Amino acid sequence: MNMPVDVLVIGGGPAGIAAAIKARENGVENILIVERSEELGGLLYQCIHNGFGLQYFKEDLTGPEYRYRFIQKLKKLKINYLLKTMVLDITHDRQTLLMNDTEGVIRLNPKAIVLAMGCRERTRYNIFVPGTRPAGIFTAGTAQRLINVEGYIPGNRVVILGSGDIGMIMARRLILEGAKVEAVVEILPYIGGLIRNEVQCLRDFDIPFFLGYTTTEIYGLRKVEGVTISKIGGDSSNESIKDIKCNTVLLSVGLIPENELSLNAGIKLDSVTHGPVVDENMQTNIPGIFAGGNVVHVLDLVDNVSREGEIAGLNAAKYVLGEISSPVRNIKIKAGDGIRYVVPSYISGKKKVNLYMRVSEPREDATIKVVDDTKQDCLYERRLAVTRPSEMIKITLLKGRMDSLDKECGSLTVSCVGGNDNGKS
Amino acid sequence: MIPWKGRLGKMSTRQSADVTIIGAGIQGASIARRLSQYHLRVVLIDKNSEVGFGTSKASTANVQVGIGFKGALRQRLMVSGTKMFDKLVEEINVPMMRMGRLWIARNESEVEILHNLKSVGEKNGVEGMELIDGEELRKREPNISNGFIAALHTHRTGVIAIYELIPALVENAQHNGVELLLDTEVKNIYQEKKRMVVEHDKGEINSRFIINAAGIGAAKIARMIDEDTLDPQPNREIVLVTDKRLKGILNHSIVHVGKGNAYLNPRCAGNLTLGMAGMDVNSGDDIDVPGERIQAILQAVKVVMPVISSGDIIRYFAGVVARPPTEGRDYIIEPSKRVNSLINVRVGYAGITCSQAIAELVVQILAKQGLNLIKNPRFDPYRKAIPKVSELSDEEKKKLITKDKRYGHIVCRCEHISEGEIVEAIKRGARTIDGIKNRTRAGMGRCQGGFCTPRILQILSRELHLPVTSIKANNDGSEVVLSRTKELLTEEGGF
Repeated sequence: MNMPVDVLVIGGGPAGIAAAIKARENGVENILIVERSEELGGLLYQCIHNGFGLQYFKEDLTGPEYRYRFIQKLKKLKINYLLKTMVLDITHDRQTLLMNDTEGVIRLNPKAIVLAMGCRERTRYNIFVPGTRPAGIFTAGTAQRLINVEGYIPGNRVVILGSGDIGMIMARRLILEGAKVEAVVEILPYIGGLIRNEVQCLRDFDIPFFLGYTTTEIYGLRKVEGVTISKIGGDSSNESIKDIKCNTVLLSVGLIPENELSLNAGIKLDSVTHGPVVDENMQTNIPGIFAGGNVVHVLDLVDNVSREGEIAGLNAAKYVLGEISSPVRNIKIKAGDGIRYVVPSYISGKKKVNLYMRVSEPREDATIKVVDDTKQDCLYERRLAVTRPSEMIKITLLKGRMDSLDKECGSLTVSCVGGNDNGKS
Repeated sequence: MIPWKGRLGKMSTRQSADVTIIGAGIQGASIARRLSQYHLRVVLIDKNSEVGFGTSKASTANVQVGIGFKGALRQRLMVSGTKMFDKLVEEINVPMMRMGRLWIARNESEVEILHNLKSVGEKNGVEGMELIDGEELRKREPNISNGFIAALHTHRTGVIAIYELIPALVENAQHNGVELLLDTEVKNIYQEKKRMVVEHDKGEINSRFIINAAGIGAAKIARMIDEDTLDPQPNREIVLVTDKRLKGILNHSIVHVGKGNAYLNPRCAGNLTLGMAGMDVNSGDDIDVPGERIQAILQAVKVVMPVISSGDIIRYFAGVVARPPTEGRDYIIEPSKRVNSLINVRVGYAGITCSQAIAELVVQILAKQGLNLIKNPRFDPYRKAIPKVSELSDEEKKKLITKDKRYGHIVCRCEHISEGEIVEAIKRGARTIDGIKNRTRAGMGRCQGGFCTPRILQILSRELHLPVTSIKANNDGSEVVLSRTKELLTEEGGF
């Protein structure tokens, strides 16, 4: 295979597809999406529940429906893609090594790359759950694939560790399949996923959940036999220490952007998001390499993943067409009090920009502020009734607001202050 | 020799052999391969579903030099055993590296330990030992913290790909005629008309000799003949495994000498294994990993190498080492006191290092007991490894994929393991998720099988013609999934 590629998109999930479509719509002819699994659309394929597209399409779609719309568009635009193809390496000058079962190995030298590899699930080992290593322990997404794609039930008595969205959705799914969900156990004093999943999955199905409990042991020799959980700061009473019998444990304890390829290419990662440090164009520190979606930071909704992929795709196109060049480094965006992180990390101050962020803890009536660190001017302020770490906050900085900024080495700090922390419960 | 046909295959209720080896761990596998050089009928049996599923798999996989452990027999076997590995890995094509070890000390009493180690080594004839100061230590290992003032460098310490080693030894033994019986648990052994009978859960084997290499279960087997056999004193060893991205931060194996201190070992595949000496003495056979132990190891590791953090850990496991109940935990490799046709092989730490020398010793014992050893002229010592796509050049990859396109389809994303490698592992005897993992590394990466497990289930099911619901993680009772969807909603299913 010998094809000229202008924009190479790594990953055919929602971010990658959106990036490719946007690049084509902005005038790039030679685009190639490389996807390692058997189908396009990433994990949307196995997300058979609804709640997708409320923002992007203003409709309530299932994962496969959302995926179908994007794939139709991709096919209409005749964008090339390779399935079951693995990217083995990217170098700092964008040389890319691919492998699949039809072409063998392929070396490409694209003008621009969009990284859209998504994220992977954290395992029990990432959070140091003690105990034995029997069969019957899965990440929630693996269980989701087994049930919704392969058609197998992992077990009939299930404990879910962590209260991420996939975990809560799988709790409901397992109940609908006739399994018993013994408990959802969350170490934090509040649910980790979206409110709508807490209501529609846990509360509506009367699933017991324990907040502020840590898992002190998984036991069982060949197959899981149970878990022991303990209340954080609790005593040795029955209320504090609970033994829950089960034959299956699902973990829903967060996601990590998948950036092993990025590291090989010399891309700088952020220590909080574990994704590439990007500017307002979603360009990484390496010119011509862009990134979007969960590979940059784990987003709450697929709608936001698509939007971010579009920004990356648009700017990859502009890079190929010579409209933008090196990464923007004019103004640094810093996460201040109450904010865990902000994406992007750098802006030019010369155009309207959206900032995506997550707060550190739940609050009510808190205020999001953006302050110019040099002059201590407040550029932006907004009161929010409820803020939760599970839900991303998007704010838009208009160009007019940034006129007074130092465009050479300025910095802005975003913070979330005031209000109270009643939102925890 | 009839290859084993699986759990459903018919077995003769009574078969005969010259030698029955109980336990397909590193010792049993090595002895089986060694005996396959002779005209002998050898049967290797194990209660687990695959070879190397006992103590051997939960090991740091070092090939030691002759120091660090007590016992005259063990030290002698270490010194001779370690030298036998270079030829072995050439023959059976298993990765090994001799990266050397730095035994490090940060105070006078620890330096004293270094001197003792060196004098033991000199007495045992260990070559390639060198005492160095802190400055030289940091030249050789720049990431070691400044507090360390001296080190003993043993240049020949190595590490071997233990997960590949045991299947490779057994494969080669089978190739040379050894019969392997898995999922076969010994119920009793006894002597009958100068023959030894092994009663197991599927029948019995009548042979001239029994080699008891049952690891943690060896005392139980030995007691079937000699009631006075003492139990082992098991140690639980907890090992943390790091992400491969740390490759290169450490060039040697590191042992911070003294109790409660850390050891750090590079693995052939690029991960590090981290542990702590003397942590769980006499812990019984519990393989639970307590949270405080993980933290204790991480703290001890940070003393040596502050750059390693908890975020680098991708897995941890516990293994149990069956230390013999002897002075200095020295090995017992001798005929039973009651019946000399039962040869007990009871070992502990450094078992991998000694394994090839132990196999040699067992052959000598058998000869002394009257077993007629006639060389098999057709013995073939060579075994080819499963191709590793990720390690091949572009040209080699292309060639392999042209021959079998399944080598171009990556199933395990983290370790870049192809479908071709998995299918080949099944052809060579893998029948469980862990069996695939041990032979190919699929599922050993940072996502710990989250992505590839459903795919590997399908491949195992397809290749073995078994339903997915009967595919096991490792042994019986560890089936990965319970049922098809909707089955719990029928009357019999669910609650």
